[in-house]
Amino acid sequence: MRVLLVEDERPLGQAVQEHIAAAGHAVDWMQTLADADVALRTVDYGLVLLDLHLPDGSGLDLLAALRRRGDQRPVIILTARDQIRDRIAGLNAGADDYLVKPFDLDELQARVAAVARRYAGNPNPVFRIGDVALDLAHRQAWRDGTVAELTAREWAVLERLLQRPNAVVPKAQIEEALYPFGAEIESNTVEVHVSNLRRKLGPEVIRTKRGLGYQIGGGAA
Amino acid sequence: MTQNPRLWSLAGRLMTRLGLGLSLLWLAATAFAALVTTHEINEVFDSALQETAQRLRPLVVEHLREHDEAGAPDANDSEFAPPHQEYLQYQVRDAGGTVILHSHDAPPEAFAAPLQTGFADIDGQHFYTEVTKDGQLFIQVGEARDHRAEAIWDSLIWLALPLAALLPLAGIVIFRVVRQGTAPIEALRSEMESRSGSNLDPLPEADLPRELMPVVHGLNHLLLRLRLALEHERSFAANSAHELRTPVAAALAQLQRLAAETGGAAKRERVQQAIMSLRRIGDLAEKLLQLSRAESGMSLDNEPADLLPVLDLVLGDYLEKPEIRSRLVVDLGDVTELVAAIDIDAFAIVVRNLLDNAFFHGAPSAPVRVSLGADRCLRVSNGGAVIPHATLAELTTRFKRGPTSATGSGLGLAIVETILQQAGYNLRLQSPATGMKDGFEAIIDLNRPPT
Repeated sequence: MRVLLVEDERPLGQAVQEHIAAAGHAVDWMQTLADADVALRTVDYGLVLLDLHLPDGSGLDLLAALRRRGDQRPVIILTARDQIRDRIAGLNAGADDYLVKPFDLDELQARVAAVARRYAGNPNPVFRIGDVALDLAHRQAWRDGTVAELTAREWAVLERLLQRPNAVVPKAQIEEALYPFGAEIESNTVEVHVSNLRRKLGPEVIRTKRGLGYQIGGGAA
Repeated sequence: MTQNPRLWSLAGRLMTRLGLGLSLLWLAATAFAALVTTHEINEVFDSALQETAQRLRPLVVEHLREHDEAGAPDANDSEFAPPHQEYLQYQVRDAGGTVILHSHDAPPEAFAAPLQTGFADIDGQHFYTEVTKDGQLFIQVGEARDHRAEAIWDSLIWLALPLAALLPLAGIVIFRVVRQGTAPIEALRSEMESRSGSNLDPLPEADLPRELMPVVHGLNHLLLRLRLALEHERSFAANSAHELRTPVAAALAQLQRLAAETGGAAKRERVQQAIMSLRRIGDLAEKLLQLSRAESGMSLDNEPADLLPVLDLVLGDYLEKPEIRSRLVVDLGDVTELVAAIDIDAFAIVVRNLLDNAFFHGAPSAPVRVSLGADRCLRVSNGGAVIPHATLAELTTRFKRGPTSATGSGLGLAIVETILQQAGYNLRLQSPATGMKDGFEAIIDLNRPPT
């Protein structure tokens, strides 16, 4: 999943970016509202992590503007404001979740996964495709009852595909979910991850639609 | 709001004193009028006695002279007029005191008055005696004192009665005038009563009398300073929280990344210890900020608000945490609304502290129960050893901890009690918890105790 992180505190932003990226997501980190607005208009982010207290204004204004123009991408607010009134204002402005600093990075990771699942229309964290079971919340996979070890990037590919089960997802969109701005991408990176996934979970889990992209499912529950 | 019996009312005092003053003035005026009237009536009656005697003198002399020629006269004068009630009676007496002539209502016996010119008061009668020029005849005119007293009394009654009838009317006028006159004070009092921690608007200055204007000016200045001070204090606490949490969050996140990237169990353990220490510093700073906000009066005089959504939000935070979710048992019953006059942020702080307390100090194997009953009592209970009664009483003291191995800030329950006291609600602590043989229970009673 491609994630936009908007945070002006450098040490915190760096740590969050690394942690979310380590989970296999592509994270673009912006430190001002202006940069975040440009990024949101150009990239189809799967999730936005938004600080409220930014040098050029309040993150709530960005969120409100986003919702005003009908943009329903999930947004998690990360803020040091813990008052209930602030939280209600954030949720009323259209935030999907609200995490008060200081937070645990693993908790942030869990919230990111939960919001992503909610937006994929399947809050149940366990997908079943034939004899394969995928627990997105705990990032655990089983094939025929046996645990299959997947890398963070492989999970990221699965999550992107499971955002729209049974739909064909273009390769470019999967690449976008895997790598942030400026990352060097090998031309066959997606093919390599898909190939590894087929090896670990079975060839029928992901289908290739030649010239169009990839498709997961045929039995997601 | 109960009235202090020692407080006095300006309007009441004005009415009472004006009423009393008017009554005293009326009494004094009536007494003076009575004195003057009595004096004047006495003068008129004395003059009437004297004039009667003097007018009778020539008539009596002439009458007796005529009778000397025609024979002795009848002592009774009924020949002059038919019998009737006389206010003035007279006798004509010779120098020896013998009654020669008397009015028909006068006694045939001689008056007790001495035979000498002038006034005399004898046996309840007032007399005037006039003597003829030859000194042989004495004309004595008498008047019953009762008659004169009755006349004076009637005069005084008819003088005082109309004025007395005016007194209640004057009372009504005083009441209305004082009420109208003190109406601006009453309006100002009502405005001031509506001011609270959540309403520090300036008092209206329109239509105020000149005397009250400096007071209201001064109060408005004070209200402005108070509002600015409170806003400053609240924003300072909020900004301090923000400024403190951000670097703590950054340091914590960096350490967590370091732990994730560090190879070797021993080094990771040391990083974890640093993370734990940082969390404790963050928690302690958080509690101190909460205490500071609580003591700045954040929960004084708040408008009623529904606390159920706040409770849901706070409980939702805890239910998001996997390590806590399995231990938290929530029973909000059939309650659909929980309206109470407490700041919603303050209430959230209260609930968080009680939950932190229960999870931190309660037995790890026992659930933490949150329940809300129709009795408007929110109960948070946890397992653990029974806490002695004496220790329970001290738990709301700052930095006082119960019999626990956990090293909490020792501020949680002090913060809870401060907030609830300000809002006018009660915190009850009990151990063992309700329906258990051990454990601890904190009860927030959201019913206002009678004042």
